[in-house]
Amino acid sequence: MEVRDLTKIFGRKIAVNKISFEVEKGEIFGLIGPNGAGKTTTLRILATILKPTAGTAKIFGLDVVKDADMVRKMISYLPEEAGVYKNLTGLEYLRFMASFHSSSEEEVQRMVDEAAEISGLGDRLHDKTKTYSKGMKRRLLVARALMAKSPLVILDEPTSGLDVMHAVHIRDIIRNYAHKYGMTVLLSSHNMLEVEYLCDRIAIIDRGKIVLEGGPSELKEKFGVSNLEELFVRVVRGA
Amino acid sequence: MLKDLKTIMLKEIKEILRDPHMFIGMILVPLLMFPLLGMTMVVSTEMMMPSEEIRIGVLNLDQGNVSKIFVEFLKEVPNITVVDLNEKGISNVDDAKKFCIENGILVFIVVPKGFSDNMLNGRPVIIDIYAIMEEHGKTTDISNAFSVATEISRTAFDKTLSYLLVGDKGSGTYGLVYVNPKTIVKGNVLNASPDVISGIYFSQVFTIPLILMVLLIFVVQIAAVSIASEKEQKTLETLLSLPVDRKMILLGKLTGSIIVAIVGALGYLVGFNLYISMVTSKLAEDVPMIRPEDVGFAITPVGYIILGITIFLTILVVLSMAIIIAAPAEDIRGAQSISGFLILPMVVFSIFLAFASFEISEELKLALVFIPFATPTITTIELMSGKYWIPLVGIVAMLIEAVIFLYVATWFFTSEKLITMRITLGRKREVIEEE
Repeated sequence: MEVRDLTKIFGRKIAVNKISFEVEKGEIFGLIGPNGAGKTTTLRILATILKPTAGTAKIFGLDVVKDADMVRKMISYLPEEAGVYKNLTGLEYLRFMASFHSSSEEEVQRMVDEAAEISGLGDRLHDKTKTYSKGMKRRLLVARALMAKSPLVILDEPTSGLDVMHAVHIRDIIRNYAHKYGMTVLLSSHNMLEVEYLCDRIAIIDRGKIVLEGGPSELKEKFGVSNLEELFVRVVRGA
Repeated sequence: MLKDLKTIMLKEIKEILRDPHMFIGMILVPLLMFPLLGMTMVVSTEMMMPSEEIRIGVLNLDQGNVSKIFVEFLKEVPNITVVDLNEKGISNVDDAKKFCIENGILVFIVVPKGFSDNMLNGRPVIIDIYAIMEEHGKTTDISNAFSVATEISRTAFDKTLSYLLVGDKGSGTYGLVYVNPKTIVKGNVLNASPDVISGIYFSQVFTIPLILMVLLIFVVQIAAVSIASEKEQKTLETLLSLPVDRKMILLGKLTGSIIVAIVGALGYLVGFNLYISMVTSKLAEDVPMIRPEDVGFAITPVGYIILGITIFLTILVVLSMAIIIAAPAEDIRGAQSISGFLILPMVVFSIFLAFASFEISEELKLALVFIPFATPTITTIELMSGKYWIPLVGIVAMLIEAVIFLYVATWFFTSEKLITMRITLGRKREVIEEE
């Protein structure tokens, strides 16, 4: 993935201001920053939901604006505030989503089975999603994002709303899937522990600009801090 | 305690007043609705008011002395122009009918042969009064002229009777007068007054726009909510990021709504057909001499096909309009409020058509057929009168409008506007994302 001078302006507000970064194939890249920094806008542009005001973004060589239809075939996007169709059961929801990724019934079934395992929802998958808790919905959504094994997975706050046990479970799954299937993962998170555990490289974004980029260990060493939280606070305050 | 009550009450008032949906529903809609309804009622009532001048034809087939006196008394009635058809060289009912149609005379009185003889010999006298209802327009004028013709016939008869009694020194025995009402519809002479015919017709025409209004409001609600429910359930972003053409997503949504619309159109046609059957069977019971098609009730199979296509296209136009107008709504409640902007003109047009559709001129019908809320009603009325050209114009108009509105709806779906645009009290603003 190659992002060059990406800019997004809403009215008079510059949400993303000429950001540039690259993500290697098979890498887990974390975008971290305070609220309103431009993380979600960046992810939405990469997921072809929004169009950039200026700059370019290429995913596996495909432009997110010009080749949006092709890009959508390569990605799987989990929005931060995603929801599910409340009148569908968990299984029906997964099947509905899987059917967009493959026309083969066997492949669709494989994806549904895999998602069922990732979600860990068991028999509750037969219930309508309106009966699910926030955490259950999030597990279903993460499973949906991973089941297609898309070459690029974009996850906006993947463990938001999950308890510790389920958050750990989901983090393990993301890491295993990325390594096992060579998936590239771009994620945003407020949880520094999660970022440190999952990401090969990170970028700190503040007020629409990338202010720091590098590997978690490398950056901690460079700034002489013991964890990413400390680094984050220092960088954002100093910016 | 009172302080708490006041605090909660003030917070409630603030929330209510700051909610744009409440503003639209409670202030804007009544503010627009009542003046619009008032205007509609004024226009439709004006259209239903009878014309000032009343002209009534009279054809004397008897030509006896008494009938001539009777006709002279008819001519004496003030404020009414009685056209003596015999003076125009007319000697039979068919020619009288032609002359009256050509000269805009809505009603003519026929004094039958034997009038003088019957009157002088104490036998009942029957006068035929013909109302010409070639089209279902001018119903009020026809009804008014028919009543006047009946009234002046009775007055003239009474005067004739008095004249004869005075001349005969009161020794004669004279008969009574009976008025035989006849209405000419599409060239057929029906033995019923125009009030009977137009009453049945009016009751039917009144119901059509109201049934269509219910159907179209239903359609608007379905379409308006279809996008808003995706936003409310927060599924829209995921849906738009899936490897599927966005036009397909729109098409899928429209197809779902179209299926509902087809069911709606079929339901309308079946229900309408049942209604016609019920009304005509009742008509056959009450006035056995009149065939349903004579009154202008019958729609041909071709007419039903045209009506079906019109309703389908109209629903498609209204669906697309609803999707476009409700696209910026953030949730179902917002979409329902915004769709009020479509429902409002729909209600106004339906009420206007319910009261005035049978009085509308050809030119106005042609203009109204371009407005989707009026097209099916105008089409139905025209098809009932056996006219096809305005319904065909309506189909072309709806087809063009459907293409235009579908194009705009597609643009909404393929651009980011669907995600970024929000409506706040009618003002557009781009949403600045939190992250």
